[in-house]
Amino acid sequence: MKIAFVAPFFGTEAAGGAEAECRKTALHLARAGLTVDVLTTCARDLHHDWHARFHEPGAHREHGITVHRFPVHEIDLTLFGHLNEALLAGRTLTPEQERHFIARFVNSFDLLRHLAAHVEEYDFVCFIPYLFGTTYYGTRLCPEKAVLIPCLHDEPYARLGICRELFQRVHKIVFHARAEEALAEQLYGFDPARSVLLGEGIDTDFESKPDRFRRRHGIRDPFLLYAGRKDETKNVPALIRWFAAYKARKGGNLRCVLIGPESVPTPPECRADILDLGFVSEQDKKDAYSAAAIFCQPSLNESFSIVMMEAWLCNTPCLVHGDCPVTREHIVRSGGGLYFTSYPEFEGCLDYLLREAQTAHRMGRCGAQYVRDNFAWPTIVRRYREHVFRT
Amino acid sequence: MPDQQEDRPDVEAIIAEIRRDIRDAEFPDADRAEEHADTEPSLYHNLGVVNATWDVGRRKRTGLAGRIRRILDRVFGAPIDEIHTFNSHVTRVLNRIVKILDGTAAPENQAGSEPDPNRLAQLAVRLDKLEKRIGTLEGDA
Repeated sequence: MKIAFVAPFFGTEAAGGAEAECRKTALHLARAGLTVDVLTTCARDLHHDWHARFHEPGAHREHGITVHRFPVHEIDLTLFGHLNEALLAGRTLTPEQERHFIARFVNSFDLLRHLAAHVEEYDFVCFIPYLFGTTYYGTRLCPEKAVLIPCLHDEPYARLGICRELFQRVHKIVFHARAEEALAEQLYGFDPARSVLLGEGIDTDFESKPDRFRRRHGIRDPFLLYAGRKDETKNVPALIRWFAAYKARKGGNLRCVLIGPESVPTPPECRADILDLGFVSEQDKKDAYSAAAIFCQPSLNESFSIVMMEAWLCNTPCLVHGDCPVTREHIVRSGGGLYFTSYPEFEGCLDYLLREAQTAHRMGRCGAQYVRDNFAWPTIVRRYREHVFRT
Repeated sequence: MPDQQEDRPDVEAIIAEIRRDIRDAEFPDADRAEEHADTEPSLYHNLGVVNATWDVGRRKRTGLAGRIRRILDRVFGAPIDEIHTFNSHVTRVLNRIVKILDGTAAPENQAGSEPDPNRLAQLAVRLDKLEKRIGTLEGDA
């Protein structure tokens, strides 16, 4: 069986959950014996100039898969910028404006020409994620073979008319969680027979040493950990304010450790209690998961949350924002932690997890079991074979 | 995807217990206000957009655009005025709610804040003048 993945960005340098998922899924499917091609652009990732050729165009072999790279079609992005601003401000675009928007959002005519010329070679073509020119136009070339992995969450882009058209068009849609599937059904009303609730693959075998992390960073006190981008879209400034309010009201020796790109302003009165480590190595991050008393995921817009899964694999309980349907679903189904929807609940949950240490440990173990049962790579590959790549 | 059952803590029961505990605890209003704003980071951005775009009232146009506009106004003028009035009320209410959430709102009916009759009279005269001026400009167009 021959499969193609079509993604706007691909490579170890490409930041983002969908990019990591695409790469790992392609590699694991190739290891399982499928022939896998990746059709992608020369751009690095969403956060760098899309027109810059970070990668050379052309084809090369990489860990058993063939990667075909094509330049992004160069186009003036001024109009895209205006339309994007309008969308984020909550305005509705006309159908014509939507077409201008998607035509400019990481699109490659060369990639589409290649796909059109070779589509007969592939049994299925997987498109990830939903919101890019490569996905929108690529699925139009082969709707009967198109498998959409949308990585959908509730955001202004999800309400574009072209998204409804996209979800109606494709052969199969792969979802990470029931809440993501429910959101798509609510927004687009597609035939449920075409949807597959599959989850996302996670590397379950890794080593982590809490003492190594504590020694390296000189942390003896219990700490609340966050790992990921530290910006508004991840709700991290709010986490900082909640933590500061918690310290002001309760005192104690709990600290907050942040890992990941960008920085976030911290109130002067609790600067000593908040440790922003910035980028750390993958091993250091894993060690941090196991050293943490609690892992917190405050984001409201997650379609899966790999960091939660990794924290659970280190037996650490998770605390999430209850207004994010996906992370809340993980918590309730696994029993792997708690969720809050207001500051008083945040405080109550922290107190509970710190006070009831045995239950907190049990939550961490339940979370780990949930990940191993549902998202280990052999399970995910089997689900792809049985439920998605079925002829 | 299977749900696991073995030895799983009942998350909903624990959260219900936490909610019972915090119901009686004291949380300053400021904390709650900050919490409300924090859970919706785009609140201030969107409020700015509302304040900038609520005005859908008729604007002066010249040339062909002005003639078309005046024809359309005869048909749609009344509904537009209604929308305009509604938008202005909603915008004022939203601004007031956000001020209350921020804890910066002054009480609505504060003692001693009755409007000054002289000031109201002055404002009415200025409003008459402005209306006449606008009428003249619309006639010119």
